[in-house]
Amino acid sequence: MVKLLHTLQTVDRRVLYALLLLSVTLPFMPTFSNIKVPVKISPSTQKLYDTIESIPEDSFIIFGTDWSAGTRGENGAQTEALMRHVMKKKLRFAVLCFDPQAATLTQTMAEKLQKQYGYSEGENWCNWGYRVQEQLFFKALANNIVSTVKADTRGRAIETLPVMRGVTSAKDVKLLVNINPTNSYTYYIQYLQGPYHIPLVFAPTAVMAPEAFNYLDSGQIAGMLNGLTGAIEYEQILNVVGRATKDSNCLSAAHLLIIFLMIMGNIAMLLEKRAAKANAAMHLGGQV
Amino acid sequence: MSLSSYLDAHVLHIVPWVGAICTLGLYSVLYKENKIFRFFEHLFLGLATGYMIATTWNDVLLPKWWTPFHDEGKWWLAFALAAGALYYLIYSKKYNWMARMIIGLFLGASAGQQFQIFVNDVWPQIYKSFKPLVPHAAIAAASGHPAIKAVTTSDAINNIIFMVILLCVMSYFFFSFEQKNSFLKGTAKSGRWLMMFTFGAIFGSTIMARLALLIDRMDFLLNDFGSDAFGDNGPKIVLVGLLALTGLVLYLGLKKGGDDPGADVV
Amino acid sequence: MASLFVPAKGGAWDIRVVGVFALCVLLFALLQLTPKQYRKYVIQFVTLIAGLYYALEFFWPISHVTGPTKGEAEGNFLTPSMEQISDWLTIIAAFTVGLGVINLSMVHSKRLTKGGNTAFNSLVFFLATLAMVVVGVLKKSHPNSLTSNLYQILFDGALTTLDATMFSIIAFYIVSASYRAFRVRSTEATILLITAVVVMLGQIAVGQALTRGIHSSTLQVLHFEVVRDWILTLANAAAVRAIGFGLGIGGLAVALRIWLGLERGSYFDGQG
Repeated sequence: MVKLLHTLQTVDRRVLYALLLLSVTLPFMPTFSNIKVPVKISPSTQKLYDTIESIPEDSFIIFGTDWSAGTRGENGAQTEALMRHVMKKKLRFAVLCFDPQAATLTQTMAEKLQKQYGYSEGENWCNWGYRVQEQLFFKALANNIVSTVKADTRGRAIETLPVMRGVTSAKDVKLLVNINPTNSYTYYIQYLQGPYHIPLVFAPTAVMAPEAFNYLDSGQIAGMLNGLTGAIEYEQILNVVGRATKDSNCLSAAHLLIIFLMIMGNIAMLLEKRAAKANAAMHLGGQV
Repeated sequence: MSLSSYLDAHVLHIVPWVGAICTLGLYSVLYKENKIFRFFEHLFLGLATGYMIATTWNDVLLPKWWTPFHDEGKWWLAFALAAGALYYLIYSKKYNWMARMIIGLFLGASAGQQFQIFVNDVWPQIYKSFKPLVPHAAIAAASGHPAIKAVTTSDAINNIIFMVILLCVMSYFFFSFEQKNSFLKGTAKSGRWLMMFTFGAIFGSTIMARLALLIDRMDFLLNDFGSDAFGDNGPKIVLVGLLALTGLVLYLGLKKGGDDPGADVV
Repeated sequence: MASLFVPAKGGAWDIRVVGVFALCVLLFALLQLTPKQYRKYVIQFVTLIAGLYYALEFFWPISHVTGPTKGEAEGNFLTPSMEQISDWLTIIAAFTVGLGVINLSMVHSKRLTKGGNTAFNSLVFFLATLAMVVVGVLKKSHPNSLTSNLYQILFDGALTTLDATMFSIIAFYIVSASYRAFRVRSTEATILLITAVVVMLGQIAVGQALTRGIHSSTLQVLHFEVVRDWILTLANAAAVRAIGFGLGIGGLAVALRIWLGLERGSYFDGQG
């Protein structure tokens, strides 16, 4: 028994890695991937959906993406789901990035989806590209979008793009979307949402989500997608099977594995403690 | 066949292969620290550095500085280059105080904006924290005040819990004076416990975040790379390959007996 | 004054640019003459002025103003200059990209000259940097199929894959840590563990399905997803807000100290 407990406590880390690998690969196989378990739509996701739905067609919105490939697992799926909805709603949007990779990654995603929804770059959407110094940029953008942004990633003056018609300052922006793995979403609150009362919807990684619930409660964020689960819920609302839905079973399997390991680790610790106590008691008894 | 036409014909197949090799190269660290991992780590560092330089030039300096400065003849933008150059005096012992001048410019600009940040970020949270603690029916809009939503008993209970947690956690952070009062001691202790809800939520969420990244990689290996390299049965072939590789790693690792000494505890 | 700042071409442009650099060198040389004990006041002055602009722009009463560029906005007499100042600061900030590159290059060139096992890796670093810079810049300046394909291989094939994989490795470590380190050793750890497990079960489809059998309307609050939402939107949000109040007030206080030059330590006090 003691040996078994010791083995459980000191199991090679590579055994745990192998178990994790199995849990995230097997559910991709057709036998498992055909099992569909729905998720319940959380209030924060529903609020986000309702906010986008409430924006009139042809309104101009800022679609901020600040993620790199390092968080693509969550932010990629969220971006795809939100972009689908924005295109479905026929909203005009400009991609704005404060991460250098995001401009290219979002461009690729928009180019992939635009055919499906009859969108074209320049006409219905544009890419403002990578920018630095959020504080300075937003402060100037709020007053004058055209002179602050100047050109899109293709080098075209933005005032010449049909997508930008009638858009001069923050007052012409009807919604802010931010998909962001860091806490720089607060700049959107401090410089655009707060002063101009433009609704902000936010899609953080799950790590950042707990912090953002504070802003959701205060109404500074109008709706939120909580990590990959948020993206799964959103695809379910939109009734599309995208990246997130395909990942759902893997996410469940890996979570169950970790919960199982946490419980086993604690049981092993408790049993070992008890065994050590019993040994000590026996030892003391022998001495007496 | 020239490089250009070769790439035109094969780039869509080269990209997933490069991706798969890079992925497996980095995952080799899971067996133990090794030269392959170090190679791909440095490749990543180099590419990321190069990408940052190229993007900063393409998206910021080229349109905002070089084009107006050089192509449009706005010669006074040379002052920006001189000001930017001050940063580099940080490497000089004699002149580095001038680098602090330009850093000070940005610190000042940021500090000056803190009022706006506080007003727009923290202030709404302060007044939104005053939640109704007593249940009441909906109140219709009238001149002078907007409509007020009904507060149910469960809403009121939740609001009371919210206020208690808020005040307890705030009391935990009162460091301006010594907490001698027994009531304050009690609330501060409760505050510490209540914060565990947040840390537990963050931990649970962190697990999802990290797993999502791994799932994304496996999705790439099995579906994107597998389908591209081996056709319809690709995902199954890659899965078998991955399992065989995992089996081999386990066999080699366990044969040697336990974790490799250089590895971290985790 | 405005007539001075007109665009120039050819030789006139060259002369003006050289003149600007000469003026800057002269200015920096004069600044260098500042006695060491007064240098911190120069830095404090620059910091104060930069902060004062943004603080005044925020506090000064607003009215309808027209900027020098297109478009009109509500603001005060400082608002119209906001875009130009932002542009200038953005450009200056963008030049900092070289600082990180210099640091990395210093480390890796040392390794390269030393030789040994790490030299090869440092060479890989330099080659990868060079390749990405050349391809990245050429893709924009000379767009053709070759640069586009090479960019695709380096960016989509290598960079994004390496980035995503590097971060995903943490998942393996977190599993191992959950098993070995996440132990119920105190009241705090127990609350943390139970909360984490409930949040985890509430955020996955299978976890939600476990309590879906509870149909009674009063007991539906025990559904994992409902408990998770309650934890996140109420208990968590309240605690995060309390922490946020501390951070917000602290941030404002630190900003004021920096802005007004009250901060002590190596930054302002260093005399260079």
